[in-house]
Amino acid sequence: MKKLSTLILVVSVVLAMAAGTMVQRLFGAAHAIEHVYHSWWFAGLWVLLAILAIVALVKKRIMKRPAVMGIHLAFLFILVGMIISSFAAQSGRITLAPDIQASLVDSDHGNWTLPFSVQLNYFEVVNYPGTQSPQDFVSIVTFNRDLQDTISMNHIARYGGYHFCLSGYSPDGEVNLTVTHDPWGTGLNYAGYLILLVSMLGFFFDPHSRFRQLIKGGMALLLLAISAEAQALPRTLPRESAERMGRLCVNYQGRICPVSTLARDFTTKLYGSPTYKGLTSEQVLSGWLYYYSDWQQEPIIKLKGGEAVKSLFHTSSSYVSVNDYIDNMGQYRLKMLDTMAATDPRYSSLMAVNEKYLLVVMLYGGELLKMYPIADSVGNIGWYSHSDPLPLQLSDDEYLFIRKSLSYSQELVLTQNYASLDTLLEKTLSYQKQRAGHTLPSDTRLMAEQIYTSIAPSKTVSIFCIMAGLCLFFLLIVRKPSSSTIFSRVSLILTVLESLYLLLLFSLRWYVSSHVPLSNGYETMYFLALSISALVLFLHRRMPVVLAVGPLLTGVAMMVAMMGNASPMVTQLMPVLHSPLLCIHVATIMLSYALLALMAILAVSALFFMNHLDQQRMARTCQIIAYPALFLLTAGIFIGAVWANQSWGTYWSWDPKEVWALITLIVYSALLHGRSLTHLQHPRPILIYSIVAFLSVLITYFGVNFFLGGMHSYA
Amino acid sequence: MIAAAMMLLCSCVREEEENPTPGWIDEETYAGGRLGTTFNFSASAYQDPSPAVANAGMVSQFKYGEYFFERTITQNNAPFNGLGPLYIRSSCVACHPGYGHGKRMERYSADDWGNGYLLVITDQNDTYLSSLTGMPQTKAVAPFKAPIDESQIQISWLPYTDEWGNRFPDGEQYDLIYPEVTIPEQAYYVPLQVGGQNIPYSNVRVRLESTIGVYGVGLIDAIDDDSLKAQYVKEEMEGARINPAIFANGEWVKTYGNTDHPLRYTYALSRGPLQDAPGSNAIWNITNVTRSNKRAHYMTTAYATVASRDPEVQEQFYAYFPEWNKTGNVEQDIYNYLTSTELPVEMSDEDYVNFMVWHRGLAVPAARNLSDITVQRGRQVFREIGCATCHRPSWTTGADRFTDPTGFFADGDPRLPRYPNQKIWPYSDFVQHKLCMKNDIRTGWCRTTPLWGRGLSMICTGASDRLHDCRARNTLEAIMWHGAADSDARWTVEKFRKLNKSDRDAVVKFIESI
Repeated sequence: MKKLSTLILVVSVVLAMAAGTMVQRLFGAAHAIEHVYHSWWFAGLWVLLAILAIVALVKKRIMKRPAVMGIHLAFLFILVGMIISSFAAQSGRITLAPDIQASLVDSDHGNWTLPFSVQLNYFEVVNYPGTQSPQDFVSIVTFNRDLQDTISMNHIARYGGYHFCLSGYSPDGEVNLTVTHDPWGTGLNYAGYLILLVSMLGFFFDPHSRFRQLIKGGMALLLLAISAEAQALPRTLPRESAERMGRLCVNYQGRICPVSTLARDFTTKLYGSPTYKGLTSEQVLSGWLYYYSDWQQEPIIKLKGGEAVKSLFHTSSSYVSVNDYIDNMGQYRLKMLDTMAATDPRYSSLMAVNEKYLLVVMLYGGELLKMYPIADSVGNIGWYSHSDPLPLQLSDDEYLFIRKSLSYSQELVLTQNYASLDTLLEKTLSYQKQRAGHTLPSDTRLMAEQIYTSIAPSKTVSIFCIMAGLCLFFLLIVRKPSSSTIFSRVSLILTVLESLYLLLLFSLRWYVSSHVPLSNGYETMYFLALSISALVLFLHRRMPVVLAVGPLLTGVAMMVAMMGNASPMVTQLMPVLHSPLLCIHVATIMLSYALLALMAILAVSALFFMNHLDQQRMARTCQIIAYPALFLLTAGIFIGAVWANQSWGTYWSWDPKEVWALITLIVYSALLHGRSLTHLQHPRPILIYSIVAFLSVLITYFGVNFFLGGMHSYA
Repeated sequence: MIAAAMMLLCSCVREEEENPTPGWIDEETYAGGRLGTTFNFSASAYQDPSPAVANAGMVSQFKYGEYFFERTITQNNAPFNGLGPLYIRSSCVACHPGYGHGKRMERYSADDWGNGYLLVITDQNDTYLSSLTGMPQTKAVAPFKAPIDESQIQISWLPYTDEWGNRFPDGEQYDLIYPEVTIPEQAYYVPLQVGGQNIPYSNVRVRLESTIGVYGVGLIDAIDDDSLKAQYVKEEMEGARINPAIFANGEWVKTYGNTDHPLRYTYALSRGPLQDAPGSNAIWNITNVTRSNKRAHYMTTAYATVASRDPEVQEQFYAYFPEWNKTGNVEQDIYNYLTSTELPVEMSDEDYVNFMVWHRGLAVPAARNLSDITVQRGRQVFREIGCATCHRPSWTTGADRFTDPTGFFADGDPRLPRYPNQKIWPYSDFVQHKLCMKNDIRTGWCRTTPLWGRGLSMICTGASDRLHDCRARNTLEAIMWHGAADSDARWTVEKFRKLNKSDRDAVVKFIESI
């Protein structure tokens, strides 16, 4: 009876939240929060659920398993924290005029006063270098006439338990801040996350857990329709000349590297892949440079953000051209970014879309073409582009050479005089070597970087690895491992190749960047891929089963890295989206979804193609996979919450994607409670549940993007 | 003389009407001729030195001159000092974003990036107010006050529907807007006067005129006076409406100042030879920088009178300008300072020469995509329907023995770059015509604006607004603004309307490619 009422309660909570997301879609976020998420009945459901859970846990003597108890205790902390947040947190807006003390906060439930004063000392809209488009909004404030702090797009200010987050500004220099005061709720939540993290790690080391065999993964491929249109390609340089151009050096993101690196990032950033319809990235970059009128109408720019963004461009296609950014009136379509809409998280994807346009602007502005080293009077080398103001002491010849470099080369390109162009490029390279002296990376380093750039993994490589991994997985799992020695051998060879490839990449990257390549999500993910394949090679004799999952998991890790890097940091832009926490947030959740997808695929294949015995084996595999999948999902959600708290000032916003991720978590957690839910102890129910539960992932991943919207709609 | 002109004209016309020869693409691509073209198509396309500058060994001068255009002028940061005490902008580049045409603005603020607007303030008869400078200032340095408080200026953009309902016969629609500018009476610090006589506020009219690009002006200066005259003769003979204040019956009615050189610059055709044209004047009157032959402030005596009597100015004047405490009578001292014609020189002669090397030395971007079939079709239709009548495609420059009406430079002064015998493609006849637009330009007469390089405007300036007050937000709107009932271009716009969509688009694409 108690079990049934718990079940009913869980289902009610899930349904309430699902309904909440619909309410939000139909009546707006404020309405959903007021009438669903922050309502007494909703909190009541949760409290009841918590009480029943505590009773059950005590009954099952869960105290003997500290890790498991920790996980549940953590959820209790988080729940209490959230309830406190939703009823006790204060929030509102405060408007600051320059140099005037303010403390009155305006909120929907009446005004209230801060126990201290806030004063705006300075406000600045920071533009993207060389453009008039805002990159960040920086204000410096003083709290209580005492402590100064900076508030910008990815940086909230904290004082006396209050969070201050930028929400708007007026042209006369007034700044609007969102104030939140929620010390207890946030504190309890953070305590919860900490306990959760420690307990999950503890679970990993718990000798009674089955976790050691659990690292299995996979990913359902979201196949990309590759439209091979027989359409004329925009003009560009011949491959050899473009390649020669790629060998020049450029100061890119404060680092001297071959132009080919810039070209690869440029193309990847615009198109999502380093090659475009058979053109190398050097050809794409030089095409943009020399044949602007062709490329400006080429739909090469990949849009992010679903229908809302597409509708801004009046298109149904996922690719637009640079021309499409300008409407018939000559107005920039994303002009609204000029206002503080930019700090509204719902516009995050527009910032990324905007950034792609700005990348082109920066190419034409010369910001991306700092190719000419000039020493100042004390010998410090500065890198300049043809359009930079050049130092006055520069000789006339050099001034003319730099200033007119683009004009010279463009004239040669226009007259298709490629031989002279090649000579000019050679001259430019020797100029760089002569002028930059020791600050230029060595030839071997430059070459290493070029090799790295040319072999760096692309979507194609990752897709191939995943496909091969999937085939091997089925061939080795579906049949008994022992009976498929040929496939085992193929898998071993593939793993060796992958390891060598990843090792080469790792070493090249290390050599080129002069730091251990573990500094960001992208690099860590590759390291993970390398570690997995190395582990497989190390373990395969004792545990042949790893051969079945190794190549697949390596491929998935590479794919996740690729996805995280679909928008390489070409510019130091997008503060909100370029926090390392976000990178980890996305990567963990993607990995979790990958595992959940794998479960669903396994379940489908087991249900339709296997005998009872094998079904039993598969059901167990599913149950095993569910652990890392859910742990990753949980960690991912809470990393996201920490990140949101740092960037937006609140850790949980009842955004549809958040809500659905929580629903997914609850739905799948059933599989981890097999001891209590007796129905979920038999193979067929487990397999069916693994399939049905996957619907929640699909809704979270696709449904939210396409139907429910919200601030994750770009993800 | 006329016969010679006619012959020149005939050769010119024939040249234009000939079928394009195989080499025409190469020829027209060099829009500024071999000596005046750059192939830089990036954001700095309008900013390059011409080959003539390099050939003449004037790169250093160009480089220094460029600084004066780009640097912000301040009160006392020599050599970039000026602003005394009223100014329109604090730098040249402020009005010429990326060296190009100004951008359309929703408000008038001198500090807004890309605002190339000048206020045109007249009475109901289009006579400039004498109490304000022709280019009115809205900025002042302490303790002085600006003649106009710019925060009170209102620009509203109103929709306009032409007689065709903003619609082509095939249904394609376009939008037109035009500006209505109001300055409330209390925004004026000076009395409202014309010819020194007060006029009622209700007679005051305000309009906007935007800057155009500064590149290629040296090439225009290199066109012979006689060639310009031949163009007037031709148009007059063809029965075109010519501004009678400029030219009538085969002869000039008005030439520049007391010279016999024709007028060739500005919408209003107020300027002749480049050496005393908008650029050389703007560095003085926009930023109020004095130089050896311009040692007075750009200012009216009406302003000097008001400011010298303003108690708030009087109170602080000596604190800011102790060196002008000369008579002990503060009103007199202020007045003397403001109207002095012997102010200290702020810009040295050498710097001014450099500035003019830069000014005369700016190249024109090459034409793009002339080998494109659509562009070629647009080029053909552009000529067939009559656009090329006023937007005359090409000129051949003369010997370029340029002159300087102020006498600062000698004729053909070797200190400046020259462009002799260049075939150039500005797409303008440099003659005034009437478009008779709603809220038209002052007097209604407007010199045909060169089209060269304008297609790069979006890249170079971030905007591609066209026409004298930036009312056209794209090329098509600009074309349709030519179509008023009594416009000189009416017949061409009628033909344009009858084109099919692909031909119309081709014309637009062509205009954006030159």
